[in-house]
Amino acid sequence: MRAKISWIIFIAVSLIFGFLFLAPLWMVVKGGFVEGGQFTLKYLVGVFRNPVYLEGLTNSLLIAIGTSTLVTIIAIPLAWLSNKYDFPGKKLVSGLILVPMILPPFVGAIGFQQILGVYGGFNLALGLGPVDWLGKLQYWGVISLQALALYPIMYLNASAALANVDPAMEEAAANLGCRGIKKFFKITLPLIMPGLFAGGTIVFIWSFTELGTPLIMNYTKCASVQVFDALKEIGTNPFPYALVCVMLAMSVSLYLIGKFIFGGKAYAMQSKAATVAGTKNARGIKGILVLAPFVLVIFVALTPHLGVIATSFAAPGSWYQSILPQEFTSANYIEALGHTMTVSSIRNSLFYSVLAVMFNTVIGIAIAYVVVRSTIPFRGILDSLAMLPLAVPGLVMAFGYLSISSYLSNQDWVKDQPFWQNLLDVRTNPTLFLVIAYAIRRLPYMVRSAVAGLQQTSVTLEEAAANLGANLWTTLRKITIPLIMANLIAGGLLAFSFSMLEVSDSLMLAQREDFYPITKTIYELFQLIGTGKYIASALGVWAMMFLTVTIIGSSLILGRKLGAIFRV
Amino acid sequence: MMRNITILLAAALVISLPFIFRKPAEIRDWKPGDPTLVIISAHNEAIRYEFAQAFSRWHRERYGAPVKIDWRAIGGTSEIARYLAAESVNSFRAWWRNQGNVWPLGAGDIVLDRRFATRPPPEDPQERPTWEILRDIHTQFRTHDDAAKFGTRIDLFFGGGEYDHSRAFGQGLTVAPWAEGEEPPGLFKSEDGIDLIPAYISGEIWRTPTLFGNAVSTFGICYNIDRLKDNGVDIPPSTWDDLADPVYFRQLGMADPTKSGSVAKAFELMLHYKVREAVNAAGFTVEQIEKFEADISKARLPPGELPDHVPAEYQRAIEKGFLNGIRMIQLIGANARYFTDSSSKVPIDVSMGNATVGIAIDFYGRFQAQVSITPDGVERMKYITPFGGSGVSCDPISLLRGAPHRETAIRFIEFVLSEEAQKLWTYRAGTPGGPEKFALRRVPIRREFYPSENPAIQARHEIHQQYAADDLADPAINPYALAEQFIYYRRWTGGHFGILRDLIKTMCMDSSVELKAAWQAIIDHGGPEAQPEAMRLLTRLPDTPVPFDWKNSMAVPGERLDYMRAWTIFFRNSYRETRAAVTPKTTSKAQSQDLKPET
Repeated sequence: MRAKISWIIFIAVSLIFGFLFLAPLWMVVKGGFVEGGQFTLKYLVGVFRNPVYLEGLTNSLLIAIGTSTLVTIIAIPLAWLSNKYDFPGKKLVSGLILVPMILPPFVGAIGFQQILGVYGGFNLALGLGPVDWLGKLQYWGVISLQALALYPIMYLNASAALANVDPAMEEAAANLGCRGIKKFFKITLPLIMPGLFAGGTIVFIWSFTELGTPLIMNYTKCASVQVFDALKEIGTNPFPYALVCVMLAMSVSLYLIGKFIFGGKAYAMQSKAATVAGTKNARGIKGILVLAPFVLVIFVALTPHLGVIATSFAAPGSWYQSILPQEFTSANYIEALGHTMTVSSIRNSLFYSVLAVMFNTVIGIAIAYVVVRSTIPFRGILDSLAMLPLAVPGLVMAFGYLSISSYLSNQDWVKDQPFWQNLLDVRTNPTLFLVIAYAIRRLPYMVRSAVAGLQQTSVTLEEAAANLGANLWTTLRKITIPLIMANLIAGGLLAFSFSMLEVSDSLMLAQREDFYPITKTIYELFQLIGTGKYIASALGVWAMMFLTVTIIGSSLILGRKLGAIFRV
Repeated sequence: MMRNITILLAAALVISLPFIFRKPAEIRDWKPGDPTLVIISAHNEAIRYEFAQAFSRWHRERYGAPVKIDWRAIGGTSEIARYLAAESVNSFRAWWRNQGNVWPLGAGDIVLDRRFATRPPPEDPQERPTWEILRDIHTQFRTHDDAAKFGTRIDLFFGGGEYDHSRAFGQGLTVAPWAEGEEPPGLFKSEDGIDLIPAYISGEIWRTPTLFGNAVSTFGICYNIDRLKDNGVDIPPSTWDDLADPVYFRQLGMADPTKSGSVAKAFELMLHYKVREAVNAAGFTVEQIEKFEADISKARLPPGELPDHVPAEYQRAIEKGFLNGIRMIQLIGANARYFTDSSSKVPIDVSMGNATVGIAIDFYGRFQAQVSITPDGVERMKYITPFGGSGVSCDPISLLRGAPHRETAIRFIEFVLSEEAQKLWTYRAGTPGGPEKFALRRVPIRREFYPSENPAIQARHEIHQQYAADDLADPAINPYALAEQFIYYRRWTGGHFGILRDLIKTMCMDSSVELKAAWQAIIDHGGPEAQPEAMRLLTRLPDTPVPFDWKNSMAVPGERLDYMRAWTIFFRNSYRETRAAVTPKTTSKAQSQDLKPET
């Protein structure tokens, strides 16, 4: 019975994935494999014969390694401290610690340059003179920036994993004489490994293929930028498609290697953190010592955000060779928030993102269920496939969805039917494709979170329910989902926030003003020559405020800290 | 409980902000049933807004009904070009198949193939039937222009560069709005025969039967006044050569010629400028040059060969100037902080001081310089057009094949080219006939906007000058004055337009790390004058597949991918050797090892 259901889910999910991800992807990358109607591997081989591309791939790998290492160093101690201690200001910092990941596109780069630029606040505050940090420290700049934006992903996953650890395990270890660091490495770390693996793979593959940060730093010698450059070239260049395939293959291989090394063993716990014992009270000096690393990380990671905020209040031309703008104004907000595009774009973004997260939740649980709970062959393939969207550049997927929509909208059954046109023709209404694009691009978070949750939860609880006569649906609803809710919320928050900030799909699929999501409105405002960066910053700040309220709000409402909701 | 209420209040406040600030929707008199128009454009929102408002008004006055413009914005010009191509092929394929025809493999590429008709049919008789189908596909696509059959369901392609529009025409995506001789009177020529929008000017195409330039732009230099001071530079850069000065090492913001046809054209014109310089230096006068070129073009000889009475020194000067130009571009590339495809990035970086100098489009540079003036009125950034070194390229509009609202679309083209609409580009906001909200500060193309010896045109200019945001009489702005300084000979550099991109990509971009390391080593050890041998090594050009020179580079044999890879390897090695050749001269071996490799 169970195997049968697993097979049905497996086939259904694979089909959905095939149609919504692989098909659009192939519509684009086939350009690198077909020449004059003939299949060719010329370009794929060409990637490996060209020193420029080889260097790009190597550098991307180095960026991924560097970023993941830094992220681990930042996130795990913080997650551990937060899990271990109650300290003054904890509620606030546990929410704020997640905020750095929500840097709005386009204006984020500007905010960053206002601070770290030659005449920026950093050089002035420290009296360093005109040092060109952004021009000099390219590799280190890229990995630091990425680590400071991506550590929340690891932190969220590590926190959720730590929250799931049954304190009884740690107490048992302590009773047997295993304490402190040793206890962490022997007991806690193995128990939270699924969560760390979930966060780590996302950070690794993300930084391997990240485009925005290297572009800000003008670091062009990495694969993602090479793909972007080649796609933007005038004339046709088949290499980017071949390069995308190489990046995909590398991402999957790296994922599998990681899974083999770190994700192999998952220890599920019989009971699920049934006691509140975990936290100690840190007050006074100790409390401040625990709080200090949070404040430091948040402050450093929020530098670009502060830059955007200050820009949004600056009178044009007034922030130059000074630590802060010399003249403040609220005119940028009046212009940005009052713009005719703004209200509808906020509504659109919310609508697209919420639908995308709902879609992801269902698919994510389905995939996780097959991967963790079933024994059917090939389930590993589904697991790896679900990571692929992370490795494909947004621009490539955007072109893919455009091609699919263009293909469908030229079919007679679509052409003459307003209903189908509204659904399938992005020129008429891009909602369906935007929701799919957002959902597929952010699916990996949901899948990883749900898989990690299931791996940490013993199957015996579900079996007990089944023994008592509950069918699969009831078990899922009453037992499984509540048990992994922390993970689902963590994944859902990530998926939601990044959907709200999605760039390439938004720019290309939403072609008419009525359907613009907020990122496209920011882009349009940014394009206004001269004052664009100020006005766009104002809307960017609004987006940050909204996501901050969402994240901190859910973290506060849902419990003392995100992920610990089932302890109380 | 209190906490939850606080959170909900905060959320409510954030969400309500845009509603509080929302301006009342503009009252539009357009109602269903009135005409609409679909335009795909890379223009920004300010331009879209002003043209939509003004056109609707114009249309109502002339034809009695307002028009709603359905703008399609999908990113930059390269995205638009791709989108139009894919959309056209898809709709044409659906139509073709619906008629029961076969669609052979690879037909998608043939539909848009500009050169299909120039290639001979295959010799193998077995391939012949497929080829005939492909030929039919190619011609059928180009002979229909009917929205009911196929098309992108978009009427107009507005903005971008001449290159993109010419390419779209080559692909069969655009069509002529007016048959020859049926253009609206007074649109292109005045009654007394004066060109009001010339078709061709100083090496640039401004108008063809299918594409119509309506605003123009030049590339120039912008610089940050404070960064120049910090660098100890007293005389600001004024020519392209100045950008090769080692003082700007790693401080130069560059536009990327591989991603934009207009930038590629700007680089070609830099080359042309160096050729002109060399020919002048060799002592040839303007009249001699004019005569030689006329004779050469008449003689129709292969490239580089000359009619008897044209001296060989003349051709040698051209070829020498060409190589000087390549070297200048190489050193400018060595100074580059980056090559970007984003038109706004360079001026923004210069205004913030992150780059000292940059190559930028005129209106971006001027606009940015103006908004960068500090509240107390201090200038910090300037934009200049290098004298005699910059062509004027146009920003066109084209009618798409199978336009669903063809009639209105043609009216829009006529409107955009009219003197009335041209005011939108240059007038200050709120002036009579000018834009409502945004000063666009672009340079209009029509002759009436600029000073002229013709009294009628001069009178028009004087009226426009009162309301223009920029000084239209300024020879650095007036495109007709700029064009006069720049007499273009296609033979000099026109054949190098394509290869120059490949060269810059391999010579400056893909080997930038090695190039910068070598250039840094030279700068650190006394500069170019002190290191003649290193400079010789640095400026070598590839020998494969043929030695790179004026003549060979017009038609490099072999596959582009192969020679580009070979060139990249060549330049990287060459720059490494250069760097190695620098150090022993002025420093000891021990010191030279301390030089850290570039990352």
